[in-house]
Amino acid sequence: MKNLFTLFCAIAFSTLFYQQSIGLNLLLFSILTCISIFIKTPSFVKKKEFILKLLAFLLTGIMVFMYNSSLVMTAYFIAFFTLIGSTAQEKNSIYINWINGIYSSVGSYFSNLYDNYYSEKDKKKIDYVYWLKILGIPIVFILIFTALYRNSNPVFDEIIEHIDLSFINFQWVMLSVLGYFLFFNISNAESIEPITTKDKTTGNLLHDKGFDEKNLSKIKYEKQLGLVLLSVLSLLILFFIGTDIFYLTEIYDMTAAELSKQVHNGVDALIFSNLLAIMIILYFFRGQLNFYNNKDLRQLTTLWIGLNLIVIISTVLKNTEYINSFGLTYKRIGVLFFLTITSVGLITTLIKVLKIKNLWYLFRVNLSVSFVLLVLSTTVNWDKIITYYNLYYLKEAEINYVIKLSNNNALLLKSYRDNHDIEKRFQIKIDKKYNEYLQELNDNSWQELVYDNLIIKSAENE
Amino acid sequence: MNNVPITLLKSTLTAGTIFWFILLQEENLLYRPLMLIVFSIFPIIVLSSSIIMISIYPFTVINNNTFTKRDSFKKYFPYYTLVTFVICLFSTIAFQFDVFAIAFFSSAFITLMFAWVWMFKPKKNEIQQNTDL
Repeated sequence: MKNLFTLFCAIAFSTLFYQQSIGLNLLLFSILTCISIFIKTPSFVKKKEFILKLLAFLLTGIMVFMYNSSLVMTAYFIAFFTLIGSTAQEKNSIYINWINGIYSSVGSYFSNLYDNYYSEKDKKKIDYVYWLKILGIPIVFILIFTALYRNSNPVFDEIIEHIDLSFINFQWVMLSVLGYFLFFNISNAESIEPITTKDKTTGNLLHDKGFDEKNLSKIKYEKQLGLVLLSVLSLLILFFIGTDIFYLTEIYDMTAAELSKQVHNGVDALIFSNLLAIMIILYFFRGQLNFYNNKDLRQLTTLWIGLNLIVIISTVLKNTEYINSFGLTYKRIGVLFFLTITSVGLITTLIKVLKIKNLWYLFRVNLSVSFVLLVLSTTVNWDKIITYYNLYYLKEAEINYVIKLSNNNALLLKSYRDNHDIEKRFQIKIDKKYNEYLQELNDNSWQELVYDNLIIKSAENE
Repeated sequence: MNNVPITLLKSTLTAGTIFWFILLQEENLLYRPLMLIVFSIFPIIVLSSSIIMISIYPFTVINNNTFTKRDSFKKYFPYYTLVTFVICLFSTIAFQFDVFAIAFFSSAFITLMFAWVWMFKPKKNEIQQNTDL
């Protein structure tokens, strides 16, 4: 049964992807992947963590159908490897899921092949006569009865006449083999040892290894250094925030070039300063200092992280003002995304210090949060949002910029062009983009269908 | 190790078959040179054999006394797979999915994976020992 389903999936795989671009086919592939996993291991249906990963994967699959973009494709593949990795071994860190997912997707088949040398169960010889009977006899009878029915029913004959199997060639067969290989790997995922077990047994907490006289004096020295360093850095960052507030009051009088320079320099400096801040904190709180009398150092660390968060808020304000005045772009959205990730990094570092967590905790939590943010970010049609904001909220929209974005905004641009008075050159460009996109949609086969196909079709019906 | 000659032979045949099957399906190919296919077997022998001897054979030798073939396979094969896959994938992307690059790197990847299985194939007595354990 399982082998037959894998065979079915292999044929479906080449039917979905042979000489097709991406669209509905990837969503159907996602559904087949999920069914394949549940057929192999039905118990997964009861596991919440697994279901969440599966929903994330399906969500990215739906988003590929809604608006295909490189961001959605990236999220899709990451979600795929996360899901496959979690079928290989449960309750692992997300990065171990990724490693196991990639390995399972490409290497599981060969590992299984090797295991067959040792497996007595699989050494049974293939019963070719049995397979010849099970496949051959039905095929022969189907052909005979089809020929008979064609002679007796002209409608049936016409339908059979229209079945075109010319697409089946060597490349199609090769793709089916690849599909079989992939679905076999999906339903027989394997984990990499010993890293998987090691990760599973490694908790999130640091453990007290005790103090002796030698390391006690070292820890005292480290604590003094930490206090001095963090005090000086806190004073410096306070001074920086003061000057930043002064800048924020002047922000409304700045020109586009000045504001752009401010935001970009601010973000570059912020990236480095926050990474450095996290590294300094991790250095001091890497070991026994966590268990020493360190209340003052922890308070100072909390203060410093708080001040770093204030710097992030100030950069968010600058960036928001920049967007309000000069429009949305991918780069400006990227800055907001980065600032969110940085804030999460600082907050988890604070939790690590206060709750005496280890470095693995930081990796696990921060990568998981990044993954969730990535998946959630795919639910937004950024091209459409950018276009809508720039066209409808800005006094002087950069139409050239929005025209150059992907086809995800083509319908919106066309509607804007039809209802607003814009320059002739932009009208020509928008018409060209829209018509090319329309042609592309009309040329789509059923495998390549996207959400805009449905919109166009319903508009035509109206 | 006795598996070496047979592994190299099988690998050459696998690499050559996959490479030319993918390439010959390309409709833009101007001609289908039979002699080139025959003579290409020599560079394929040299290339596949040297890559296998350099990158897989050492794993059969290290820890030979402490590890069984199965242990070595289980320990090193996954990491080798990951590294090879990443190299082949990025190389194919770097060549902008040119059909020659697809043929070369996909045949290289599949051949190397099979080469691991053939190179580490246990003898009958080793299988028996493993079953007894």
